[in-house]
Amino acid sequence: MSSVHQPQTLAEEALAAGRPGVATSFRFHRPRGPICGRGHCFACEVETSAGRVLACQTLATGTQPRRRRLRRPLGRIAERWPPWFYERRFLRTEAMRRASLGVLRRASGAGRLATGFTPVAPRAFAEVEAETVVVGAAAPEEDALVVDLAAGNLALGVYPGRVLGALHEGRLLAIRFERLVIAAGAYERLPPIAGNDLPGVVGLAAAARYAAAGALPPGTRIAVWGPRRAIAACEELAARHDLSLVWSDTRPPHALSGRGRLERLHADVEIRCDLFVTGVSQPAIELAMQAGAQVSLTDDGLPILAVTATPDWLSMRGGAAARSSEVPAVAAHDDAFACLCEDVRVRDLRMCVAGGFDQPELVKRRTGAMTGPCQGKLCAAAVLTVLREAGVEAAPTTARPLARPATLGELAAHA
Amino acid sequence: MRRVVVVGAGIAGLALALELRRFGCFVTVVERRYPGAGNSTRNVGRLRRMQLTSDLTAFSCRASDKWRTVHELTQGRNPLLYRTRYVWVLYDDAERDALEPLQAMWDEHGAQARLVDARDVVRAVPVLSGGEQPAGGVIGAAAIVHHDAAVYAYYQAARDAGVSFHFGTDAADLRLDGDRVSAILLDDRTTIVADAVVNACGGHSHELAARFGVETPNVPIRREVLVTEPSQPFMTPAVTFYRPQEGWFNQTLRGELVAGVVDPDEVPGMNERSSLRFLGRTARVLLEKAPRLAQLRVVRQWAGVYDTTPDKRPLVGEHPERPGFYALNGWSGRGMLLAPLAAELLARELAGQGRDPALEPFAPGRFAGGSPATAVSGDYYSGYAH
Repeated sequence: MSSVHQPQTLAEEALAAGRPGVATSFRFHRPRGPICGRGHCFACEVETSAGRVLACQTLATGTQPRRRRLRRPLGRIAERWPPWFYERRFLRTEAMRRASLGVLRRASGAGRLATGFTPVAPRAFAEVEAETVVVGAAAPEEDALVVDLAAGNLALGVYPGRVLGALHEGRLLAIRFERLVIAAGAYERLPPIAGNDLPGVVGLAAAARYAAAGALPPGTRIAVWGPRRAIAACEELAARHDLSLVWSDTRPPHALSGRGRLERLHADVEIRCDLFVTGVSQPAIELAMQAGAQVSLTDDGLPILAVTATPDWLSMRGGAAARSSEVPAVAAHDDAFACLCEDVRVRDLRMCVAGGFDQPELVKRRTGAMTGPCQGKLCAAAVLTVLREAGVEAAPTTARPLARPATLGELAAHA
Repeated sequence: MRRVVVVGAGIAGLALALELRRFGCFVTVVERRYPGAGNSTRNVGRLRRMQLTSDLTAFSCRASDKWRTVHELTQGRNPLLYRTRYVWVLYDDAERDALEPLQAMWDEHGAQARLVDARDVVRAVPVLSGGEQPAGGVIGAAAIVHHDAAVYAYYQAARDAGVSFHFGTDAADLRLDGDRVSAILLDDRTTIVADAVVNACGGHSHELAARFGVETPNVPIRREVLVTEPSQPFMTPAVTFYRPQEGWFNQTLRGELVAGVVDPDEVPGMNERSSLRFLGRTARVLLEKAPRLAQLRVVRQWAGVYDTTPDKRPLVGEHPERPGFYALNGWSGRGMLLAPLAAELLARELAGQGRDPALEPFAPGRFAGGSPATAVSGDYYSGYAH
C-alpha cells in the first residue's frame, strides 16, 4: 500500500523527483540534501526569492530555490587545502593579501541577505515562574509548562539562576523554574565513512516522515545502518510504503558514493541505493550542558555524547537520556565529513591534532567544526571521537545558547 | 632581564613572549587553559585608529601600524587582517557637536578619521537604510583581524622561536629576594626562576595580582556578543553607535554578523555567562537601526569581559611596590588593537633598552596616592573627559 499523500515541502518534492541535492555546502560547495527533516541540521538551507529557508520546513508552492552550482570548481580547489589554508606563506605581499581577503569574503556558499524588509514589531519580554518546565514532547505532567517545538515554541537556552529562555506564544520568556525536564529527543549520528554527506543520507525519523508524505516513490531502494530496532523500524517502513530494503546492518558500509547524490553503497559488495538511513542517535544534550550537566563520550560501541550526571533539579527523558549508540565502533575514514555546516573532514581534524591543536576548544576554532548553524548537534561526538583516537580524552566545548537558531526578527524584544 | 615568565597565553602574553625572544630573553609562558583562552578568543578583533583622547589616538595609530608587521614578525603567518573603515553612527545632534573639536587632533595623529553627515553614513553602511535616521557620524580607518588566526600566528611563531609553554597549570605565588621577584611558583609545585614575571591574564589580572599581594585598580566588566549564520558580503565597515543606547555590529570575513548592545546597568565583576535579555535587546536595537537584518539567524551568543581600568587605559610596566612584577593588562576593551605594540615596547623595557615615552600614560603606579578610583560600568565612553 503506498501513500496517497502528495509531497508538500521543497525537500519532499526534491526527494520525490530523485534530486535530493537541494542545497550547497559552505566551504566546498558540495551538493547537500535534507538529513533531519526537522530543521536542526541546516544541511538543506536554500536561497529563495523570499530569503533563505530550510527546504524541509518550507512549502514548495510558490517558492523557487536558487543554487549557485557554478561555484563547485572553486570548492574542488578548496578541498585540497586544510581549513587553515590561509595561514602560512599564502600570498606574500600585503597588497596581494588584501586582494585575496576580498575574494575570500565572496567565495563561500553562504546565501545572500534579503533585499527587502518588513518592519518587525518587537515582542513583549516577560519573566514568569513555573514549578516544572518540560522541553519537548514528554508524557504530560500536571501543571508543567511545556516548551515544545511541535507547538511552535522554541527553547533558546538555560541561563544562570534556573532560567529557561524561550520564544513562547509570541513572547520572549524568561521562565524561572524549580524543575526542568528535557525530552528534546535525539539527532542523527552520521556514519564515519566516505560519502556520508551525500544527498540521500537521512535520519530515521526523516525517512519515516518522507515516506508518509509520499516523497519516496514505490520501489525506492533504501539501506539502513543502526541498532536492531532501527532496522526493524525500517523493515516495517519499507513494507508499508512499498520501498525496497536493499541493505541493513549495525556496522556501516565501507563507503557511500554517487554523483551529486547517493547512488551506491559499498559494503562487501556494491549495492545501488537511493536512500541511506542512519538509525544511530545522538541525544539532544545541549540544554542539559547549559544547565551544568556532565556530558561525556560513551565508551561502548560507536561513541556518542551522553549525559552522565545532572543537577538534582534536571531530568532527562526519552531519546535525550540515551546512554549508548547501540552499534559497534568503527574507525573513522579520512574522507568522512565530521562537521557538515563548515565542511570539516576527519582528515582535517587529524591534521589539526597532529599540528598540536589537540583540545576540543582549539580544534573548534582552528577548523570551524561545531561553529555552524547546528552548533555541533550532528558533529560534536564525531569530533571528540577523532580526538580520542589521537589519545586525547576531553570534555566537549562550552555549551552556550542558542539551542536552535532563531532570526533577529523573532528575537527582537523589549528586554 | 634574561629570564621572564609570562602568565597568560592570550594575544598580549604570546606577543610579549615572541618579542622577548627577539631580544634573546629566556621566556616561559604559563597558561591555565589553552592559547587564547579568555578574551582573545571571545572578542571580535576590531582595530580602530581614532580614539577620543590625544594620547590614546597616538598610541592606537602606532598600534595599527604595528599590526601590519605581524605577518613578517610571525614568519609569514597570516592573521587575516582585513583593512576597512570604522563608522561611528551618531543619532544625536549634540553628540556630533561634541565630537567636532576632535577633528584637529585626529588629523594631527594621522587617525584618518573625519566627521561626516548622515548621507555619508548610510552610503558607507547601506544596511542602515530604512532604519532610524542618523544625525551624522565619524568614518575612520580601521581593520578587522581574525582573533584566532592572530593568536595562533603568535603562538606558533613563539613555539618555533623557543618559548617554553606550561599549559594546564596556574600561577600560585611569587618567590621574593628581598622585595624583588626571584621566581614563580606554580600550582603543580613547579618553581621557575625569573628575573621578571609579567601579568598578562586579561580579565583575571586583578585576581592574579591580588594573589601576589599587589593591589590593582582594574575590574572585569562583562560584554556580550551574538553571532548569526554567514551571508554573502553586505557590509565591510565596523559599526559602533552609542547614546542613548550603545551597541556595535559588523560582518566578519566568513560572512557572519557579530553584534552586541550594551546593558548600561551591567554589574562589574567576573561574569562570562550569557543572558537572555541581551538577545532580545540586541535584536531589537539592531533592527531599529538596520531593519534589513531581520532574517538573519542567530546561532550563538557568548560573553567575555573588558578588563577595565578607571581611566580606560591599560596597565603596562613594572608595579612600583613589587620590583620584577610587571603588568600587561587592563586593556579596557582595546586589547586586540594595543597588545602587539604594547608587548613590543614592554619587551624593549625588559631587555634593558629603556622605557618608551609612549607608555607613560599606562604606568601601573599612576593611581597610587590619588583618590581611590574604580572602574565604572555603563556607557563605555563615559570614562573620558571630552
